[in-house]
Amino acid sequence: MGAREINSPLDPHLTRLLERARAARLALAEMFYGMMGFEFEREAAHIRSDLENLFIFMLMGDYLGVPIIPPYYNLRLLPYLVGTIPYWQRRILRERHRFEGEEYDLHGL
Amino acid sequence: MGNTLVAIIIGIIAIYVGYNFYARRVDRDIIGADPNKATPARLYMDGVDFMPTSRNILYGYHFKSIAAAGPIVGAITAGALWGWIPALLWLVLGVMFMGWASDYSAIVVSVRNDGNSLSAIAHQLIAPRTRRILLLFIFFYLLLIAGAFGNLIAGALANPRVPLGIIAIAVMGLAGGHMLYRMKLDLIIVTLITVGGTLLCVLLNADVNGIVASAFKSFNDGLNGLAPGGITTVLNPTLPAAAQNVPITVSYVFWLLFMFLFCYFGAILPIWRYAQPVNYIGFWITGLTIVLGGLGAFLAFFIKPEVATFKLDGFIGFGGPASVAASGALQPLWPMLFVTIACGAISGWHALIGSVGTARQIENEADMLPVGGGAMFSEFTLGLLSLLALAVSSSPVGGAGQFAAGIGDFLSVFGIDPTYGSAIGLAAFVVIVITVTQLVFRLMRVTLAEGLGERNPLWRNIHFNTLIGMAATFLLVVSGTWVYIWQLFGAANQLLASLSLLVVTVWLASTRRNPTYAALPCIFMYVTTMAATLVTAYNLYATVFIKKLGVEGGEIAVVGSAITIGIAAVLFIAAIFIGLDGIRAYQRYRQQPPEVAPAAAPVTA
Repeated sequence: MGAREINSPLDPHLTRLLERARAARLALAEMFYGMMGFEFEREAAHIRSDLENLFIFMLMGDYLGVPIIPPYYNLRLLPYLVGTIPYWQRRILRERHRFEGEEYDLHGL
Repeated sequence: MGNTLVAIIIGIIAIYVGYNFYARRVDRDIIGADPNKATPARLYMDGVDFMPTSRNILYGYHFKSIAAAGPIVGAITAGALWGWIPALLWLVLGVMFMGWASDYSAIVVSVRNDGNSLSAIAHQLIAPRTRRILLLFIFFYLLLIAGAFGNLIAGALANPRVPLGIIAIAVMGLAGGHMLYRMKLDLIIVTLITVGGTLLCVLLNADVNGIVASAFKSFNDGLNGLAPGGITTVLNPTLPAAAQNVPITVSYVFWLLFMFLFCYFGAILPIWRYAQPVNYIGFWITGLTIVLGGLGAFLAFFIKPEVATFKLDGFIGFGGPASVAASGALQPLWPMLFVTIACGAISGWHALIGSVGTARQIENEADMLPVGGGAMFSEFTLGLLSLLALAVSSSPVGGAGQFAAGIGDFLSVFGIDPTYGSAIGLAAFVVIVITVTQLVFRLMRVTLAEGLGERNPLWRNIHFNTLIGMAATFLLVVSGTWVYIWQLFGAANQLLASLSLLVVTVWLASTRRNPTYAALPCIFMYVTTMAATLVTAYNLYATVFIKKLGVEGGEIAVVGSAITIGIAAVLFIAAIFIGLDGIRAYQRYRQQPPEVAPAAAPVTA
């Protein structure tokens, strides 16, 4: 709608109405995304985390004294790794449910 | 004589009153949801499973996870057995007082217990063996779903108007996974290709006299020509006396094996490769059918009143239709209605999903009710629509055929030819059932590996486990007792709901909260489902086992019914153990003295 130049008594109400309509549209878009795209996002995150786990595992071995890749590259990667380490720890150390590796939800029961 | 508008208005009032005047009150006064409290998603964020997510996205995700085959099939079956009034009442009252409470509370308990799953919380709060018993319970629960749904799918696929759409969804699913994850195409393009392609195939197969349907009919006739009287006959005691001996035809077995092949891919391939895109396409088809069908049901009252008027009896009888009583079976409204309609009113599986998946992504405690409770109230609308489709349908063919004819009537409001409308309804029905079934086989093989993999490495082989699950399912399906298997599944599902409410009740007691809102539905569902399990076991014994014992060609029905009775016994005993442990745990927590807040530190000058 853009900025309105004419100030009428209706303006605050109209603005509020437009804001609500915009919020409702965004909420609907998010719900739709939740039904349609979110599942793929989660699967992509799982695939990525599996690769990341492997990658960090390789680097960690090197840091702990088991050389796998040349230390020069390993140390250059360290700054990129620091932020991810807490997430990685939580991912690999927590207890898992038996079905977690699989598609747990049965879609509709 | 009812009509769609009245039922829809009742549904809207139920959702409004149940959500605003009951659910919100519990959320505020008993649970005390606090938006400022840190949730596990924030505390343990790992970028994958524990991830704070917007409530709208989570609502959509949770709704998609819980809504599909269960509410549709249950409402159709119960409407045909007792009439639309009891079915509608149970849907409304069930979701208002129990369904939302079960889904929401499972999420609450998980959020307040570090995002732990319900079985892990049961292990901690009730008894260590509860977790093991739950695993056993889940395996038989899955087997019953596979048996009930396998029968439905094979029967529907034997209809020449159905197979092309299902073959298309399998091919499109494989293609969709490849396009999305390997070719990295945009989701919108993938959706247009896969969903459009599947819908096109459904419509190509719609006309019963068309080329495709005729080809499938000739194919089925050719197969059936190999054994004109069928391979064997089974007893379906719910049919009229003259039609109770049902032949198992070659085409039926062929389509059953086709269903197994479809599900085999779903069970062994990586989830992104097949099962996930197949579900995605299935959800679009179901979603389109449901949204258009729902709109049609609403508008029909104003545009085509003859479509909106119910043709189904409001109340058929406390004991079900006369054919049921004549067979010697018992179908009393209590307890059987409450297990025949499971998911649209209350479901145990939701609680497991909620505790493992959704709860770990809740960003803020204020989101627990809109996501858990809100999604359950939305699922109720699906059950309601299915009941409406059945109630307005004038088709003499029961089950899927009647649902499809009702959807065809609703879609005719928009000018869509009922031939194509009913084909879309039929395809949607099969799609939602088959997409669930493939995941059931997947979970069944995981359960087998978990339970028996330590004893013999063979049980860790994914192909072996899948085939064992399918062989057991085959036996259940061809035993011919679909309604009983469905009701036993419903009983297991509702028992699971009752057990999840038991965990919630014990947790409420352990935290000194008023447990009534969870305890009363827990007791009602526990007693009802235990009774329903006994009634179903009796029905199997009296109307199948005894009648087919010693009869030539009746071996499959006898073995199938004996296995099903055995499953009923296992579920019953497992539930007794969990119930007893739950009561002991509840008493233990009630007897504990209330925790005293630490005294304030003395003020020193």
